[in-house]
Amino acid sequence: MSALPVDFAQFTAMQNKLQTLSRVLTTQAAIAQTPKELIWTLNKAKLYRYVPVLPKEERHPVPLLLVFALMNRPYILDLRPGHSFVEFMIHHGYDVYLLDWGAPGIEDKNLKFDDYTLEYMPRAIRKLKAVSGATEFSLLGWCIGAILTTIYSALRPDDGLRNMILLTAPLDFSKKENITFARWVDERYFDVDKVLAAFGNMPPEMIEYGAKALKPVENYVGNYLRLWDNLDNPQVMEAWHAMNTWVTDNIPLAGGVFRQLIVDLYRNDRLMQGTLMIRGERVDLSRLRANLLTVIAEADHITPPCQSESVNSKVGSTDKTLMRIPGGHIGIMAGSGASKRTWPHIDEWLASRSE
Amino acid sequence: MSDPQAESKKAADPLEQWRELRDTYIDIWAKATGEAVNSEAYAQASGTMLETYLAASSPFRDAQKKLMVSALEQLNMPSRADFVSLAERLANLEMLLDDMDAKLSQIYQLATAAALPPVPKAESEPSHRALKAEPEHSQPVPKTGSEAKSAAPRKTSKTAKKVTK
Repeated sequence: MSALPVDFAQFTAMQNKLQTLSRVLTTQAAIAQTPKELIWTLNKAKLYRYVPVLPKEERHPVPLLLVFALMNRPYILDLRPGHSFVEFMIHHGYDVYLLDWGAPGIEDKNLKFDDYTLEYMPRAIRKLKAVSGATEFSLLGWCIGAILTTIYSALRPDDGLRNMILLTAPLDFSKKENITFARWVDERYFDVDKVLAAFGNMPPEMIEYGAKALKPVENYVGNYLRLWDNLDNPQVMEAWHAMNTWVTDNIPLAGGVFRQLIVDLYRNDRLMQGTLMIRGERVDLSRLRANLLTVIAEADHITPPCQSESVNSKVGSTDKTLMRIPGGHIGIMAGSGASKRTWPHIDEWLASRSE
Repeated sequence: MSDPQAESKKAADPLEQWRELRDTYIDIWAKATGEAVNSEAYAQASGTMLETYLAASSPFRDAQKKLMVSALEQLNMPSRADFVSLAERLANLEMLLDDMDAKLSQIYQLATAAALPPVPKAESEPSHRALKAEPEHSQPVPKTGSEAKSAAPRKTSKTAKKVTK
């Protein structure tokens, strides 16, 4: 009946869209909501235990420790209620622990893989065993976390590690032509010592730029177009908001680790060659005997599949499985299809090995 | 069978065609830039840019650092280096305390086991106490429909391929 030339419903819809846009771009989503308790700290590192939802007799007796990368927040594993790997696992009867490395300060610039794998991890695991009462445990390492868990399990094979899950693990650096990062940090173009002399730790802004610059159009343009196209879709908006909160919440990477990552791994592939030395001990992957599940994201542009494919042939484990999942580096665990495409497979593999 | 009304609405929406065109253009652009950033030329150019930035900013950074240290000294204030040194010592102390705590727990358990009949072990470790409950997590999280769905069944989809066993 309106005789006005302007349809106010359209104005209202546009106003709502702009409000949503403003909210998701300027606020933090409610992430990491699964109840947990802090049971151990050391320097910036914290060990959390997620509050179990099943009675003890219904839970698997072997606890699961999650180890994420050093330069991102680990709450990607517990992104939001109803879409959280942690929540999924505790509802499937696992006693889940999370090792949060925290944000290194300038005083931590000399921390190396040596410290993380031989000082922090053994102590956190000792606490995990004391709290859970278990003598054996499972480890899940994702991205750089998978490097840490691999080094640790090769150096300390008798520490009670029964199962190990490696997610998008950058372990093999031999096929440099397939690894964009390897090209960028080539010694002809990138002086790691100059960068660390200037900054101490690797600044989070540079890490974020590095990750996004691998796919600049998708990350700097496509991501926001997707946001604009779905402003009236609350489900997509909530997912975008939570993921954007995580993506923009980066932390520095300790200088010592960054140097090792570039020099020992990206440039010289020392882990796979069996020449990586940690506190005077050679990291020999054949000493790793835990049951091993290696998960590869088929469309991973950060850790291309070639970086994880060969690890199963190098380890000493007799029970080893290689699993390929469609999706990207983060998407396979935190994308909208993760609860169907990835988590059930991990549960299925781990459940039978956690009794 | 598709809904004719929706079809006609879609056909009448000029923005839909524009979006399709835009997405096609974005795909082409993404492919081209993906190839560009994966080239030696890009690696060389980004390395040169970083080098230039570091070389240009280094004198200012060094001068600022010296000035700040000198100013703090004049004011009888501790410098960043002092705090770093303290933090390192604290981290070492934490490690020592952690080891002592573990040893004490072990001694306590052994003593308890020797003196008393066996006690349930799991979740009753004497030294274990939650250091801090996360405040925002004090309430149980209400289950959404998708959560209940993801938590309950143990169905496995066929998307993953097991290659080796």
